[in-house]
Amino acid sequence: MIRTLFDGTRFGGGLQTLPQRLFARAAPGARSWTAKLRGTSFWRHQVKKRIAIFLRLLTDWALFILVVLTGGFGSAYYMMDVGTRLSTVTEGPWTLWTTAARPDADPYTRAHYARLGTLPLSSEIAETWLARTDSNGSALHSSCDYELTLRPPESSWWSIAVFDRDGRLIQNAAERYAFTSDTAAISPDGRFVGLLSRSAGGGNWLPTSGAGNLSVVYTVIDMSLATGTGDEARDLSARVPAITAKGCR
Amino acid sequence: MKTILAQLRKFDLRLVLAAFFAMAILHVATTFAAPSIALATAWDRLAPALKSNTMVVFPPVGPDTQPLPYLAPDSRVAMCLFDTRNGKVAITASLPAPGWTLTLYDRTGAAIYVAAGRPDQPTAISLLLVPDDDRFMGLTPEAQGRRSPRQSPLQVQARKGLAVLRAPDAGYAYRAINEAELSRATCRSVADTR
Repeated sequence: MIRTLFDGTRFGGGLQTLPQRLFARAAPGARSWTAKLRGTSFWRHQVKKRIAIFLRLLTDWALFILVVLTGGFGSAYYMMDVGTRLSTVTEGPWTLWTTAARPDADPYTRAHYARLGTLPLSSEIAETWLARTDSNGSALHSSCDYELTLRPPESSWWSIAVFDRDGRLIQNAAERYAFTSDTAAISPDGRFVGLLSRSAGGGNWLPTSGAGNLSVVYTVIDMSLATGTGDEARDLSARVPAITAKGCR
Repeated sequence: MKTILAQLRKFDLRLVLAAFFAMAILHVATTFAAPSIALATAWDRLAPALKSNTMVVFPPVGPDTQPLPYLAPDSRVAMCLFDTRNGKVAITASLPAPGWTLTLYDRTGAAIYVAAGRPDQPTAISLLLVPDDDRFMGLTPEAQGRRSPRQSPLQVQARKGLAVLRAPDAGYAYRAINEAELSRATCRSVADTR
C-alpha cells in the first residue's frame, strides 16, 4: 500500500503518485477522485483489506456468540437435566433431587420437573430416586435382564416402577408396571429381589418388553423425613436398590 | 509450555471475561425461564382435562391412561384444579394410612402444601384456600364475637393450582375401598365458610 502511495500508479498514460492524483484539479466534467481511484491497484488493495477486516470481525463475533450460546444453554441444560451436587444426591446409578416440589426448591429443581412435566412428591415427606443406568454405569436397556435388590425400609411405604426413557409405562400383557411395599414379595431374609426382563420370570418380575432404554423410579414415603428422625443417617447405598445386569441378548 | 502460553496470550482477556459474563447471564435467564416456557408442564397436560374446583378421581394408571410422565400405577389419584379468583375453595380429604398424600401444587409444580397419612391413625384434612391477594374476605366468626359453628379449617393462600390426592395401591383387595375413599374427597368453591 505504501509503495502504491509513493511510487504512484499508472494513470492517464503516465505514472502519478496518489497525492498528485487525488489533489489534482479536476477538469470540468471530469470524474470525481473516488471515481478516479476505482479500478486502481490501491483501490483493490483497500477493498480486499476492508473485506478481510469485515470477515475477521464477523468470524470473531460468530465465534463469541457460539461460545456464549453453547456455554450458557449447555450449562443450564446440564444443571436442569442431570443435576449437580447443588441440587441432587447421587448413589450409584440413582439420583435424588433434594428439594423436589418444595416451596424453597432451587431454580434447577423447579426447571427439571417443569421440563419433565411431572408432579413429584414433596421431598419433605418422600424420596424419589431415578436410575437410568445399572450399578456398573451402563444404560438400562430392555434387551438385558436386571436384578434389583433392596433391604426395604421398615414402617415406610415404598414403590419401584419401571418406565421407558421418557417416563411412559411399558405396555405388557401381564399389566405389571410397579411393585409397592404392599404388593411386593419379600424374601425370607427380608430383602426385596426384583427382576427387570422382557421374558417372563418368577417373583417380583417387571416386564420391559421392547421399550429400548429404561428408567426405574424408587419412591419412599417416610414421615420421619419431615421430622428429621429418619433414614438420613443410614448408609446411602443401603437406602437404594442395587441394579445388577444379569445378561443381555 | 511456552507455545501454549504464547497461544493463550493471543486471546483478549476482556473478550474472555465478556464471554463468561454473557454465558452466566444466559445460564441464569434460561434456568429461571424454563418453568414458564417448558412446552408440556404438568399444568399444561392436566388443566384442559379438569373442571375448576371439582375433585376428579382418575382411572387406574396404565400405558393408555397415564396422565403424566413417571406417574406410576402404584397409586390411584384424584385431582382438583383449584381457582380462588372468584372466592375461597374448600378441600376435604382423609388420609387413612401411610402412603396416602395430599399435595397442593402451584402452576409451576412447586408444592405449597403437603400432608401424608400416618400409621397410627387416619388423618382428616380440611383446607380453606384463600386468594393470595389482599382482598377482604369478611370477618371471621371469632372476630365478630361469635363462636364458630365448626372446627376452623386450615387456611392456605393460593391462587390457581392442582390438588392431588394419592392413594397407594395396596393390592386388589383394597382397590374398591381406596376408590371409595378418594371419591369422598371434595373440592368446591365456597361463598362463605363461616
